[in-house]
Amino acid sequence: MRAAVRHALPMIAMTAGVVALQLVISAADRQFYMTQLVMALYYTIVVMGLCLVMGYAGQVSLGHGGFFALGGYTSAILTTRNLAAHLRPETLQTLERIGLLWSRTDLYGAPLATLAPWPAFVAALLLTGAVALILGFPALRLKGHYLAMATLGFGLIVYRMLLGSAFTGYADGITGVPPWRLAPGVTVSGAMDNRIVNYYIACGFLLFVLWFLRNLTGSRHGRALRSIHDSETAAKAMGVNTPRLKLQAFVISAVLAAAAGSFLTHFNGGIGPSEADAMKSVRYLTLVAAGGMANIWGAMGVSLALTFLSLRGVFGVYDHAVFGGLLIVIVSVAPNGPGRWVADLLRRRRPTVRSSGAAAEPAT
Amino acid sequence: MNQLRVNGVTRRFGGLTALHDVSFTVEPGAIFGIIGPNGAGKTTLFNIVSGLDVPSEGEVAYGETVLTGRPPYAVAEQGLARTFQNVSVFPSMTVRENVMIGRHRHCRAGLLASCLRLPRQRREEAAQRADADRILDELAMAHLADTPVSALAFGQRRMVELARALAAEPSLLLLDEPASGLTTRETDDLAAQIRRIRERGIAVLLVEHNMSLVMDVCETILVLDFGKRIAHGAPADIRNDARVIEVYLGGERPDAAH
Ligand SMILES: Nc1ncnc2c1ncn2[C@@H]1O[C@H](COP(=O)(O)OP(=O)(O)OP(=O)(O)O)[C@@H](O)[C@H]1O
Ligand SMILES: [Mg+2]
Repeated sequence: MRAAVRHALPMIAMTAGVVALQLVISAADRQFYMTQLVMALYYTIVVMGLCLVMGYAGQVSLGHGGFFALGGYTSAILTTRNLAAHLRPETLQTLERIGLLWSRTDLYGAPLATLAPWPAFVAALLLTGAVALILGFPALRLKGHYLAMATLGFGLIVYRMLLGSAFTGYADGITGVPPWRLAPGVTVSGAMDNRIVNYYIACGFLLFVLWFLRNLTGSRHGRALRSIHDSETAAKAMGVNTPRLKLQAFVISAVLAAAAGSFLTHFNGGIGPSEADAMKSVRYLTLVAAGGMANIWGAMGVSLALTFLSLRGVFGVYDHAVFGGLLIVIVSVAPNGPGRWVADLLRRRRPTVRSSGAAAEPAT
Repeated sequence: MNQLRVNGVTRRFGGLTALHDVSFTVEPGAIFGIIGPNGAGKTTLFNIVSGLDVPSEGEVAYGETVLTGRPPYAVAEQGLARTFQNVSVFPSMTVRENVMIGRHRHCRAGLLASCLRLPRQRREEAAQRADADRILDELAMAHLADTPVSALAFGQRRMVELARALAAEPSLLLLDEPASGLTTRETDDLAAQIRRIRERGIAVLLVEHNMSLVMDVCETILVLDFGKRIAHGAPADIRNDARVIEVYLGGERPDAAH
């Protein structure tokens, strides 16, 4: 019972914080913050998922921008591509009745039939999961940073393909992505009068991811992931199927990025190739490092704050420099994260307070 | 209960033959010692038995199962657990969490059950936690359960590693120099623990330079020198074996004296 409360308390506090923030923003008449806030929430989901791979599985992914884009573009393409001319009317009707298809008329009154957002979303997750599996399977069997290289290559390929293909709209990307009606009155869209609802949708998604990842990291699978990080050899010898677990963490993480990409695409009504830019992936990685690596809360907090400020344009022309500089500082000064760094500083100040018997270091 | 059979195992590293045609068997529940000078190939042999390394020739079998060629986690699944010469605990975790990793192979809840925190997974987690606490209690380390391993002294880390291996409920336990770096008192505690492990019917494969410990607890001893078996028998015979005295026991070795 006590454990259940301890587990639920942070989630309850987070929910209260979400509501409080919305009330403050509304009361202060700052609704225009909502758009960037919602975007920051979705990007933060990518960062939290990446935290699982980097902080817990100890692997570097430079492809999370690519996964985000893969999810977003899959949703965008499937919900804008007109199937009216390709399918027979009876087929259209049947598909629409079971909710897979969505018929309407376009701007000029011509019939428009596209996949509905839900099946497009599911397709986006499945496709991204499959791609992550194919990328990760060989890379995670090898020792070393093969995953970093494989995902870097993947990200670059996705970026170039999006830029160079008519199918994905070249540099313009895809626009006209329809709103996504999740439930009556709950629609993912960027409409002005829908901002508060979208704030709660994004927060709900974020809270779900937080709950999901905390469950995972607090379970035997989370422990096993951390053990791999500490000593892969010992983890294996204790019966942890390390290649499989690393692959599972990587696929979960990629699918979360794709889900965030899909939601943000419906929110923005479109997506562009810059989402797959290597700089985006480096940014996600920086935020995980700045959050303290194996720290979902840290990743979430740092990412929400910095991404929001960045989207508000606070960093101006120094935007990339801020994140690049942050990465350099973290790696060189506080590789275990700012939290650990501060803790170490404090401990160094008063070295005699170490608990008795704990001071002896290994003899070798 | 299974018999461990090491059959004609040879391991070459480039031009160096770390193990040369080594064969022996360990009966269920036996305490089997492996001794020899530095670089004799003892750790290499452990790595091969536990699946972390693959022999150039020969094979290792446990009961009906051929272990050679299986990944280490599949070997562990067969009931083998080990400790490491250079103590491989998980420093970022607490003592209890380290021991719970030992329970990993007994857990059945899947990844999805963990992510969604299903009731079945929660029950299993609570049971594993209780098991880990029980093992810590038996090793008189219950008071350290919530301590991060990084804050422990070296001897305590060795005991955590032993607790982690015992948590796996192995039928064969491989200990690679468990007494090195321990104080005399800690070594005595360790000897008592090894005897208790034997009472539970767990077979032990013990690599150790501390001769009094080896002679004290082992029923059979294998002596390696430059990867070759030079003697094999009961402690009393090994102590009096001319070759063993010449290459190993006779010459004063700094780390043999404890
Ligand atoms: N991965 C490796 N690559 C190359 N040579 C190795 C490797 N592992 C071990 N060796 C060599 O094999 C020989 C046996 O090493 P091993 O560690 O098995 O000895 P040991 O009997 O455990 O010695 P010690 O008592 O010092 O622990 C040594 O000469 C060592 O240098
Ligand atoms: Mg050795």
